[in-house]
Amino acid sequence: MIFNTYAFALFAAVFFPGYWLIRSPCLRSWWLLGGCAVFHGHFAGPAGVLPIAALALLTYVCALSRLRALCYAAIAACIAALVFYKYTHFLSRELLATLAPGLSAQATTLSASWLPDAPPLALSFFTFEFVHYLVDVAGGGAPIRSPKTFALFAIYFPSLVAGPIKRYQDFTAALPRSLAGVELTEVAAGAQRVALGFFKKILLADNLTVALAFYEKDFSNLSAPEAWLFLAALSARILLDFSGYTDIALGLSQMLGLRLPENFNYPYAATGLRDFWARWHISLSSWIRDYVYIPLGGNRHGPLRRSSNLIIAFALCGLWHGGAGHFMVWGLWHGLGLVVQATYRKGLSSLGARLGDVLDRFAVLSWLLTLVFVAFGWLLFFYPAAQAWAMAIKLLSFR
Amino acid sequence: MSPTKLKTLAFLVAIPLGFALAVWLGREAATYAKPDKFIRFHQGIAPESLFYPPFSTLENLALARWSPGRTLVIIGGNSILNGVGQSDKNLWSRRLQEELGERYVVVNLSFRGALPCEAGALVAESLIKRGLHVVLISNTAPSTVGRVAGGAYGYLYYNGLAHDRLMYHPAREADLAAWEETATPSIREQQAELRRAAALDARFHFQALWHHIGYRYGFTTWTQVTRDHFWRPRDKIADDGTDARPLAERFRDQLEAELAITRAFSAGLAESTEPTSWRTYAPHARLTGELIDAMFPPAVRARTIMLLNQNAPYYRSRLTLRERTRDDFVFATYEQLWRDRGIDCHTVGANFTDEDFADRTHLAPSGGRKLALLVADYVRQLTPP
Amino acid sequence: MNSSRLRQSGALALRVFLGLAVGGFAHYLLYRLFLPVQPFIYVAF
Repeated sequence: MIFNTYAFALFAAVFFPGYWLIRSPCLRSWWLLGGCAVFHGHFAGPAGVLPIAALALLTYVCALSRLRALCYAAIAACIAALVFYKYTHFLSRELLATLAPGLSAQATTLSASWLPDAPPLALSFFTFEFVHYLVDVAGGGAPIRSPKTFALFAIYFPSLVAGPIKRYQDFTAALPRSLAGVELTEVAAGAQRVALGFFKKILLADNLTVALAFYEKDFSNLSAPEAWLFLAALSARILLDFSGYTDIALGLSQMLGLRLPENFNYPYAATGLRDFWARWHISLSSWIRDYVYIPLGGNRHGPLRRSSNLIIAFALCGLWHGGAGHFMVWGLWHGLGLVVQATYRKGLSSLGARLGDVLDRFAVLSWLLTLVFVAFGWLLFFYPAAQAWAMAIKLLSFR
Repeated sequence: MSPTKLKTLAFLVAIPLGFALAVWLGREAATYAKPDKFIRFHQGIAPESLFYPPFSTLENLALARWSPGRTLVIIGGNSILNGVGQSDKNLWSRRLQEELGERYVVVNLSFRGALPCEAGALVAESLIKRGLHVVLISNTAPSTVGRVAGGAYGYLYYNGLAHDRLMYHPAREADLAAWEETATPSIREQQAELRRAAALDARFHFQALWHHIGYRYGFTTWTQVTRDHFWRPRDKIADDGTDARPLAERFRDQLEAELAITRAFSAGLAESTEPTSWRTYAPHARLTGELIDAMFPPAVRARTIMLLNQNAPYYRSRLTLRERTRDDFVFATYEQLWRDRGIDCHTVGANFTDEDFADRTHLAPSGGRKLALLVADYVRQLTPP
Repeated sequence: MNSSRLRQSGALALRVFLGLAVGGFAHYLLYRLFLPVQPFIYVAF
């Protein structure tokens, strides 16, 4: 039951009026939990619900104990589940095939018998929220005592499908206000945002998706302007699709009186890669910053360590999107880009300083450079590396 | 009341009002919306280009030229009856109307790839239910009946059912339920979504309104067929059907693949007893019979002419003697099988020439003219004055 | 006084129009969901 289905339309037609009409906060919380359970059950099916329920229970119990060892064990279990469901094929088929082809064949056969056809839906989002919760509790944060509140945090339906990745402190603080009553202004603003999200997704992104699928088969025969238009459409499509989804998620939540964290802030207006990552998929990039980059040492141990931390963090960010080499390459592309952006002024001595001055003075140049860099990155995101490379060569040959 | 609250309230109250207004417009559109100067469902107004004419549109088309006392001849079936291989000027159903004269109203509601029980057949069912004098012309390969749900035009079944247009026919519902039970979870969910869509449409009439807007004012969805001007209203998109190529250029493409299809027409349907003697493969014949019973309510069967289309002689002449006798046996047997179930059934195309075919299966204008003459005769036999 | 009332009425009319548009768009969405819709890209992640 994702947002663009009749099942969801019917669900929303029953769920939202019920939520607004119920006056008692306690009853409201049960109504919300029931709605979330129905949504998750329909969305993921039993095979998708069970692993998430098991991980959620483990996370809840371990965090409640406040024992660091147990929290870390639960973190390990969450990550192991993610690796098992999402990366076994990648590890056995792509990585192991390079290192030990014989072993790879065996591992592939074995994993095919263990693994379901697809990983539990939204597993990556669940894992990141659980890991955040466990790390914060292990670090001294107060755990969520009420199982109902924890269950709501875990399967809150507006953000269940594809985020934004919530922080439990914000969620548990906002939930009681939402349960106490919803302001009409919030409902109105939420409805407007939901409409905007559907407009972006259904009218713009979906048309671009189908058109791109048609033209990509013939990409090598496109003229130079057509090929660049294709790249622009590819970049617009992912923004419209994902920010459209996010608008729907945030709008639905706002209609329940609960604000979720923003995920986008005009990312294609960024004038640098760092700026871009402060505007694109903000809940993911801030998660990576807080739970990967900073624990690795962040920028505290000199430029070399900082560069390696950036590259590791972004390679993981790429891999988070799926077990495929091109996602990792996309992450590395951005990681390297950030390293270059952070070091070129000093690294290229006087030339770097001059270049930096020019880019500072002409913001439009920085903006254009960032946009083109990000757009070429989307080729790596959507296509296998070899195909993306061929497409990039064609684009740069201007023929 | 504060101005902010007033504005918020005005916005929130206007949402259901806007929705209600659209529902009312949709309700109205369902009573009149239909393509202008309609000849057939060409690609620009068919599901190939994401234009899914709703049940009400098909009914409006069927009734547009009809008046009491005249017999409505509804053409269902697939691309052969849709007239692939004939331009709209030379369409066989135009010839059929000329041949039958004023007493009859011929409406071509066939779609490419449709099954004999889909689309036009359901509209005929609805109008027979309303008491109109209707003849349904449909077509298929000998043993293909299919099901009203599950295919590209399955939405029309759910649409007709939700709008209470179809006859009470429990055998059909039982068959579909049994089929769905054996289907994959994703197909089951797909069918459930179609049912939800139809149930919502019966109340809110969104298909009629937005298809009418898409036809008259502008389309909002990109499709491969309309890729250069997808936003244009569909009434601006002409029928792109063309007449068959010159005879010398026909049939040669993919000869082996087309021959294989020609062979497959009867391959699984008969068992050999002697070198050139055949008997029906019983399980398949039984299944075909059961599906005919389930998909065609008895009242529709009595008003149906089913055409079994033979392949072009160019291919049939390349079959071995054994394959040809099997082919003839299967067509004759299945023709009788349809008749045994109360449906007037005829094999057509067996004595047509290569000139009459546009390709293996579709008819050229000359074949269309021959078909029109044959069908006119069948219709007159079924509806004596 | 008059111009401020005019402004308020204009704003009110705009909100009504916006509400009508959102309601009409919801009706359109019911139609559009019937056509093939593409899965959200990030659902796969």
